[in-house]
Amino acid sequence: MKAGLGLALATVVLCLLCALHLAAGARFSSPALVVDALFNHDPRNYQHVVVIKQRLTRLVVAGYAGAVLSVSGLLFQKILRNDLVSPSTLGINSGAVAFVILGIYIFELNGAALFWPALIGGVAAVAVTFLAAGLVSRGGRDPLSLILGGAMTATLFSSATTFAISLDPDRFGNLMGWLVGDIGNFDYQPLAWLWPVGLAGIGLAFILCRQIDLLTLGTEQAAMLGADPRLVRAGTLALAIPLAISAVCVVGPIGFVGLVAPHITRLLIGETGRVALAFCALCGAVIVITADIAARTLLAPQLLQVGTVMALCGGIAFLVIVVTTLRRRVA
Amino acid sequence: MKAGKEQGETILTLEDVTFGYGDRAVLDAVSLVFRPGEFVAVVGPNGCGKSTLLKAMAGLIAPGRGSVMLAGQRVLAFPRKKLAQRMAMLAQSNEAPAGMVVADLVGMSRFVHEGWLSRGTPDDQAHIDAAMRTMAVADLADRRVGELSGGQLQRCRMAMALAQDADILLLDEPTNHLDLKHQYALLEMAREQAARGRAVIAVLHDLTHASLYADRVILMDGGRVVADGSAADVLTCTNIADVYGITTVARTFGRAIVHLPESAGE
Repeated sequence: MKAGLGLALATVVLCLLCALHLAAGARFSSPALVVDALFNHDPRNYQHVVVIKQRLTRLVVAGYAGAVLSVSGLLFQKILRNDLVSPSTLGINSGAVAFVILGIYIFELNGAALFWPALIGGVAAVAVTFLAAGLVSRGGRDPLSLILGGAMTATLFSSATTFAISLDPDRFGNLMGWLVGDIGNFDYQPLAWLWPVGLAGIGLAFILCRQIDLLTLGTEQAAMLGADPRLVRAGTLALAIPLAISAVCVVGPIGFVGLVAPHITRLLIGETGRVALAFCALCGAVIVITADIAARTLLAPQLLQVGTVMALCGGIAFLVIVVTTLRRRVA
Repeated sequence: MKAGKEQGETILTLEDVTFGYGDRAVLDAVSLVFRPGEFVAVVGPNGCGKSTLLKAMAGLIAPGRGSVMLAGQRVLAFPRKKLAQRMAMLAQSNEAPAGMVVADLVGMSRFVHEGWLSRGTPDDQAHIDAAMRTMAVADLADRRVGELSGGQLQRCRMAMALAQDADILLLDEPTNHLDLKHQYALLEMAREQAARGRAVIAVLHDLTHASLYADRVILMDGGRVVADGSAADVLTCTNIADVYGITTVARTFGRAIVHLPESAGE
């Protein structure tokens, strides 16, 4: 597919999904009602309130989380030249969650202040994952080493989380949804503080896109083409980690979108250039918005957690990606 | 032809370059001079330090002793982008991602000429198109890297190096993966680049190729330069026996020197 056409199609699909997201729910709202609620809002009309407070806010949160997680995943996959890495498979999600729980438990932090322990947790998780991958590395560049390292790290941090929660279960009762990854009706509140992280991260990713593309050719080749590999790699990590963390702070550890969206991008329009980056962001937004529509309508009026829906679909996608990656390596 | 091809002008100088891993010296006091307009072949047995020599020239490794100078300045002191404007390299490893489109791959080398705002200019496109025509890969422009044969990818990577438009071309076993026709086409191309005033420095395995195309041959063994000069002076049976440990008989066809095992010459 031509890159420009792909981008246009992704935009159209995203717009249609946004419309569907606003209309669908426990009770289907007519398009006329949605338009009314958006442009002629009446705070006393309960259905208007539902469309704005419960659906529009969720839509924005879902779109944001999908976009930043996917861009983060694409950046990781490019600079580590490993198709299996993503914020979740590198253990970043688990690290952030563990440190957030500790931040709440020890320092009684809340709201946007939790971004900082989450960021520290994310960085710590990446460090532990690289370390563990170095230990299990079976020589050469085995893409599975990092994933094994990530799995160990995730297990480690998850048990820390569980331990901290078990010390004072009552205090974390209202965090249960966030812990599996969910979009709540009030999630737009931290997002109101955190969106600049996403904007700056994606903006810088666009600016650095060319250097990051050079790095996909290998360290030496990138150096010969005029990039400073260590600088670009460090800079990209400094973008990809906060991007993922800004989403985890809002919606919790939603996995797999950061893994799957880059693969869809690669499959449809390739991975080189700014158009691919934009496509990947749109693709991630589409995935999480779709998951949120499913979460709200599959068992309506009961709500499912978006994290649960994503884990179900994403787990299968992960398996497919691992199997095809291994097959390609054998071939 | 570029200006300043007169004898004596040097573009790249190696002084006493020594590099090793632990106690093992991979490069041992190598001193060499390269001039614009020269096609130099570096030959020698496996593990003699040929590829390491190219890496040292490219500033990819820091020699333990000695220095590599480009236009009077240490290569290692160049910012990578500035260095890449002067020097392009075809590395041995084939690591381009399978999903990358060939036109994008070739265009990667134009990064060195891009500013923050000036990219994808007609000049960039002209260089990309010319390089792809030169390497006969223009018809592959829309293909993905993963669909290419080894030889096709090698030619695309060579096109990428050409599109970089640098004064110095370092080629590490450029004929790898290529069939007979494309091997000779690549060597012709390399000689032509030298004739345009570039310094072309190629690690070659095939001594016949080296004798047929290179202006100068550098024979290496155990990290040292054993001989440096014209093919006729360097590729002698004595040198070959010393370095490769095989007794050969040499036959010449015009410029070409072919070394055959002794048994084949009887």
